[in-house]
Amino acid sequence: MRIVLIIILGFLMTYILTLFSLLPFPSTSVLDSFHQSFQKTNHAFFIFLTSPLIRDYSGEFQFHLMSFTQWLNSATPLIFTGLAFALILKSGILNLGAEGQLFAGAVAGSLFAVIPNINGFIHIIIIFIAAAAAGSLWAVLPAYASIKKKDSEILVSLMMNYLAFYLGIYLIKTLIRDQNSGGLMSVKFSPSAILPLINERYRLHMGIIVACLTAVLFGFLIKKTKWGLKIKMIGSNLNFAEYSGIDVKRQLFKVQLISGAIAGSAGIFELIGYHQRFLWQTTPGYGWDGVIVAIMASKNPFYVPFSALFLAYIRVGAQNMGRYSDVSPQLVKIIQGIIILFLAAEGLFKSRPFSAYQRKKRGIQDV
Amino acid sequence: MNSMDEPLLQLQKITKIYPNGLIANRDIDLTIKRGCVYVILGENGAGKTTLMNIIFGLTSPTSGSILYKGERIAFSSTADAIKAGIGMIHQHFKLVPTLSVLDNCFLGIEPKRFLLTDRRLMKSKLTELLKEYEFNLPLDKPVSECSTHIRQILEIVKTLIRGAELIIMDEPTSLLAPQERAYLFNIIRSLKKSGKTIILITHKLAEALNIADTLIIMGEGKILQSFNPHEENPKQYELLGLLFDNQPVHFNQIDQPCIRDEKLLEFHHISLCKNHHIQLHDLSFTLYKGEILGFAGMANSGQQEIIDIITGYEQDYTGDFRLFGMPPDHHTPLKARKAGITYIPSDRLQQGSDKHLTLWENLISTTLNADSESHQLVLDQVKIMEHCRQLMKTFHIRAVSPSIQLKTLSGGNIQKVILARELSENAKIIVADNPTQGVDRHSMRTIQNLLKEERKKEKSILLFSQDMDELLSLCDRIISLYEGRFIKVFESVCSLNAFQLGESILGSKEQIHS
Repeated sequence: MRIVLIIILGFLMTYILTLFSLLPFPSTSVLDSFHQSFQKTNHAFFIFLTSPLIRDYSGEFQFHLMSFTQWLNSATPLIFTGLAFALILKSGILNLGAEGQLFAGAVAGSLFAVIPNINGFIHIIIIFIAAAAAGSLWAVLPAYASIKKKDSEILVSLMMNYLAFYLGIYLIKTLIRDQNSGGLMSVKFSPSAILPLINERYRLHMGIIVACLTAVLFGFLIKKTKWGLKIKMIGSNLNFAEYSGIDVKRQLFKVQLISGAIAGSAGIFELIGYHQRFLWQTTPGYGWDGVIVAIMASKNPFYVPFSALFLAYIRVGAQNMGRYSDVSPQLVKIIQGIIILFLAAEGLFKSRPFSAYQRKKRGIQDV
Repeated sequence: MNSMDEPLLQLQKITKIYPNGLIANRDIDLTIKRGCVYVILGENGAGKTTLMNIIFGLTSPTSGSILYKGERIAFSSTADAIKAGIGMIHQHFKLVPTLSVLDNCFLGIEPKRFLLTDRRLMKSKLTELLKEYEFNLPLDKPVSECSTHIRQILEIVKTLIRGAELIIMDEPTSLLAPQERAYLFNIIRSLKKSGKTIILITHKLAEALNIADTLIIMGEGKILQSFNPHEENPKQYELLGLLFDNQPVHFNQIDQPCIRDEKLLEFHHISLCKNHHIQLHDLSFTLYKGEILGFAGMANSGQQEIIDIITGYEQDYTGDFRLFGMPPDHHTPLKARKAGITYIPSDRLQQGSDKHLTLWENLISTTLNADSESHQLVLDQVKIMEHCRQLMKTFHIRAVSPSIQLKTLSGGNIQKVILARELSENAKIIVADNPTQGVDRHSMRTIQNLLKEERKKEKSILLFSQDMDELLSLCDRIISLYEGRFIKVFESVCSLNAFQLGESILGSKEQIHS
């Protein structure tokens, strides 16, 4: 499979890069310094590749629950934003507003989360509805601009991201800021707003389960329902969709709103599950990661959890590697970059039915 | 060295058979002399474009040989052909709209100075060339802002700057307004004066007589006749006979004439003006229940505009359009479909189907809109597959299963897929735009029979076609179109033959010069 090849290639190239970056100044023989560098690189890569699961406890390998928790927790928002973006890509538009929608959703959710005790589960549902609605709301303007006014939805959605960030920070600052803390963060959420935890000690929240269920739900919607086929048709050939009598404009609007709702509920898990207060001072960047996740999953909602888990895995691995070896965790950015680069080069590793030469030989005309 | 009398290009026994068995050219012998204008006339599917593609190196002939400047050649790509001095201007412009005229001209052959493009050299080369031929081009304007005839000149200049001696033009006039056409002919004459050789493909007889040194008439992959129109001065109807009357005409074999009682669709004085051109000029006609109304006309004579109005793509017309006796309010493609108009588009790969989707997805695409009978959310795969198999059987679609991708099917089969979807929809009016264009003979018969079946079911069909025989054998009435006007309405087809019809769609000489 193409994606596996690309990932292996990414690792390989990163390995070689690391090897050379760790090469000590040639005080001894070249062979020796290479040997040293090899050992260091192997050690770093071992941590990088295994640490989210296994920990080397003075020679004894143990299951590493903390990293495992971190892995699943950080995969959660990526699944949501990945789904949001996969849906957008499927319909053939390019709304890059996931980051802003996520921030708007998180702020709106936080505003509701500080309301003192509302009966148990209802509170959490209210928070989710608020977050999804805010995300959706943030998608309205780009959708309207692109469909009704024929503006570029890319531009409008990108600008909406800044609007979400500064407006959100302003709301947090003026309404629910914790006056006693030094940094800018909200007061602690009320206990009824906290997501039930699977593991109390490392705060493994149930976001991952909800995320996977959402992915399956959307996979089903896209693959098995009429609506899904409509979206696929619009994304694949707009002329054909319009000709077939599909209400293209309405469907495109709907897709962007739904995608906004998913992106809006992406960030809130981390806040009500892990941090239990609003403490983001910059945008967390999950919206952009969603782009990577969706492209790696080749727009298929069923594959989104896998690609999100992969991305989260190498990130957690890289953090641990930074802690326990000489290699910096920024290494993971190189791998990401290589993967995206090769995925974007669509012709690579793809078998074509006929090469240009063969087509000529067989007398097949290009259409 | 080569003398001027030696022919520039010689084709000897060129035969081209496509992998699907279609014989596009058979045993073509043709000699092209320097400094002459050759015009090739012929029906769609006569093998004109294939022959030109062979000369330009886009396809290779199955057998036969090509001599260029006395040497035997086999171009493996268009780059070889360009190098040898052959330029081709395609029917649709191959230009980059965002780049300037100058950049478009040198695209791919930019003169280099160190690592940079030598713009000064580009400019001086181009101005020199323009001066030589007395052309006028805005060099720094982006192509998107240029008018069609500027683009046309640019295409010609592009071939000249690459050193073309033989220029092939594939229907260059189809996109131009009459005045622009006259201008193009002047250019062609001045090119000829400076020793260039030109091969021009056209549909319009008057144009051909106007410009040609040698007129070549092709049909069914063969050259039927080639002669000098200025010397032999042939009668127009003889040519028409050659063009359209080489097959026996099937007279209309419909048993009962339709009773014109129920008006389904009416045009009253409809005009359409788009991009500062009058596209449709004061058209009026009525479609009755149970008849096939044919529209004869060469490509781009206004057919697409009429279709766009009926199917709801175009709303900015003037005049009175009535559907079932009522003027439709805010007609859109979706509303047209709901009102009972199905449409078989001529662009079957871009509009009529999606080759990236599967066969079944293409077959059910029209049932997806909000108002279709079944309101269930989930697609019932079993039911759909059964429905699709049924359609495949009744419409003779040859495919392994409904879940294969559409792009694996042949052109004729894809057309049958579109027909299957549109005809199974129980509409009252069927708009068919060139439904048999580019499909093989067998599929063509099947499609024509299907349309006849629909007529028997009391449905009305608007048939737009460039195939005269098809119109004559299927239609109750035929309207001939020329440049967005109705030239003639033939109320009965029985006494009509192909060249009477052909005469009225080609446009006489006066119409061109007016």
